[in-house]
Amino acid sequence: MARETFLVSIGPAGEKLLPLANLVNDRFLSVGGAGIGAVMGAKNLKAIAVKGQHSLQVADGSRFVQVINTLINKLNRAPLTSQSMPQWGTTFLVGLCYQKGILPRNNFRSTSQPLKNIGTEALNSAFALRGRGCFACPIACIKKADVKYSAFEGKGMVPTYLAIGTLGFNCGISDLSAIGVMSVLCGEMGLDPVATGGNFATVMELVEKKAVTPEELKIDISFGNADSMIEAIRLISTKKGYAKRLGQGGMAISESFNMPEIFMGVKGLSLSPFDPRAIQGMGLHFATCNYGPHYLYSYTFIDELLNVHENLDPLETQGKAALVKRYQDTSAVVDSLGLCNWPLMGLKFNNYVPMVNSCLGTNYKADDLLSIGERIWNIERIFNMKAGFNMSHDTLPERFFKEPIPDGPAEGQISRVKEMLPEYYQLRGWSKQGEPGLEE
Amino acid sequence: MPRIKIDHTKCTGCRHCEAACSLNHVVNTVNPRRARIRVMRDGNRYYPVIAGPFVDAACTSKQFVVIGDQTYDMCAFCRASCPEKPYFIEAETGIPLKCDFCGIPPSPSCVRWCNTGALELV
Repeated sequence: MARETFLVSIGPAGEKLLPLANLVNDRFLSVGGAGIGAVMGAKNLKAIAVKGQHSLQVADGSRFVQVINTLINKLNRAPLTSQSMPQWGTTFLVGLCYQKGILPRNNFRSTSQPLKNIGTEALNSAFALRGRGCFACPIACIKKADVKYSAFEGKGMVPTYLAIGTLGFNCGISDLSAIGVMSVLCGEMGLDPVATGGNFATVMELVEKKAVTPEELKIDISFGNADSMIEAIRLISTKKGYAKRLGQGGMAISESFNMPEIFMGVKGLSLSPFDPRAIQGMGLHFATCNYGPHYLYSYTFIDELLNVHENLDPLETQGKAALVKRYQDTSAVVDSLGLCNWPLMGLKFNNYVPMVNSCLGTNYKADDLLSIGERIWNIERIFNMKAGFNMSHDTLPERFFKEPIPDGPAEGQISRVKEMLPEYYQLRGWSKQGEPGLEE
Repeated sequence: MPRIKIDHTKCTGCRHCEAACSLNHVVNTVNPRRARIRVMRDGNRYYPVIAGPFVDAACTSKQFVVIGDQTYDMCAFCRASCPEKPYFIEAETGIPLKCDFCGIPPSPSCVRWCNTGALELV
């Protein structure tokens, strides 16, 4: 059936007001971030459904068609958007990040792991991949699983890079089918994969450091134990008995055992699976992002890791503040337009501009759009400051400044965010305390 | 008679063809509800369907079709813009739509726009 109604809803986790709760739409995609589901749950709002029949007017149809065709041809010529993304989705990043020592393991304490079980080849053999595109997308990076595994039947989604990194390797698990089951469970329960992974990585390190015993938790949860983690994900969304303690979020758990330093997150949210010691620009973004440390609010890895537009060394700090600012502004404006940021792997931001102009009938230039993005970012920052965030929150967990990476290709690196932060504030035009002026 | 061949293994369900069709048939407008091609979904599979003619003969000769262990009504396969179904009827006016293959040549806009090559004019 061609469907005319689309909806986004919260799962059991959101109904129980779990801080890990997220929104899930009917295409089985988590949207939003950790905690949004709890906000909707607190307001007794289960789901939002949308249907409509009216038309969208395009200002200049013939030019719009022409621009779109040029852009699609460009995307089809770029290697990443024509081969890697359509074939494996974001999962192709796993192997690349591993080679550069960016993929974290065991709650950001190591970066090396046996590679044979991960990467795109293992993915091909573990799942039958089937592309699924968002509306009018030429890339189609969402990968649906066909009925090869019973847990996926009909509805499953192959785990993305985020789910593989946070639910998998950061918890010491490198079994792709177990990660896939966890990712599907997170979708069914309405949990955010990043926050859930960070939550369990924190619990696992607490157990390893003997702050809490598995008997007290009544579940044998430890690094690399996939079965108990699947069981724990099922349990936390019920929020009964001892499971209540497990699902309160990484920050609250680590604080309740008086070990706040082992929670790997910024502003209360768990880190995306990029080790900020091995990719400095992303580290600066993690420290300063208004939303929290999520990699999809600044696509610096396009230049730092994939070297699409510029050939930058991820370990250098030179010019990274400008790079982070540019990508943050870009993603702010592109998200507001309702467009996707992933095509930046094949297009420049300038290529978006004629599309916007021919659709809206405006005369923006790239700099105008970027300055709109900067205004959005400043308004978000001002909102955060009114809510009690300040410069002291623009930092990373202490581990990244004190403990160098013990192994892997980026061995011995520490995060140099504190060197870049003054330059970043200066570029943004903020005061030395990171406060935007009111006139902006 | 022109026909559009559909390869459902290639279709990603992105509905680019719907946008292309409405842009081609209605000036400066993107509206999948006014498109003469719609992407249907069955589980994980997506298959684009073009609007066909609505004739009484198809309804009067209806029979049940058994595929595997499931029995289907003929209506499940029919692509006519019939009043029983919500699609292929222009929502604002109620006029039934029918694919005109964009008055070929060169080829229909959905075939030209398809990102994955799931559509082909034969």
